Amino acid sequence: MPKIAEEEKKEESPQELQLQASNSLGSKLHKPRCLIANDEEVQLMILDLIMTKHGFKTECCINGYDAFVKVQESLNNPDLMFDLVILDLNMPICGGQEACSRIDGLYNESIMFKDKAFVKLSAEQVINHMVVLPAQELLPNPNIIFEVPV
Amino acid sequence: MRPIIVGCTSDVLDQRLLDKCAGLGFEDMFNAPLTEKNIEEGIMPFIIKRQFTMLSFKVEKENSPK
Repeated sequence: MPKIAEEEKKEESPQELQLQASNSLGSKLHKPRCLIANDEEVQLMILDLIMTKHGFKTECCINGYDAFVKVQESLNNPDLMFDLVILDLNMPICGGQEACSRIDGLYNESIMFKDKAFVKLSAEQVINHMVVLPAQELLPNPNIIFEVPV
Repeated sequence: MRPIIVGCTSDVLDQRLLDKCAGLGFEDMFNAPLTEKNIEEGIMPFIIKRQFTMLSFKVEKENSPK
């Protein structure tokens, strides 16, 4: 009787995954963007260096309000969108907690009209939402407004 | 696409602080100053997953019939 070989499913480490991505897709690899908000100059500089070393394109700011504004500005341009935001919790003007909930609010923004929600989404967000929502068709505009039945 | 948001604090990262930050949208919390080690082990896995999502989208888009 032929033996049935069982494939062992190993959990791949982040380093292995990164290597696979680099090998298979080479230059197509998306260069992630990182926003660092920290009021301490030394910490900001160190984080900037570490993240740059890890292949991130970094932007720095010294309070939560600036971080929120930068994220808000990036919403209109998919190339400028941030993949990672590192927020210090204790910062002047606007701390990390408030900045986080405000940034989160930007992405959950929707206007409710009686029985329908109108959600403004970027093309990438549409792809994500399609997994959750029963979307009928996809319009490939960078920014579209579509109707979501509630 | 919503960015991954992580918090860092030089305060003691205890349950009280985690409860205070719960539901605000942080993916994870770290003690400041962030070190090479906790960036590699704590933050990079989020980013690698994100890169795969974006890459698969790009590849699908390139391969789709016009």
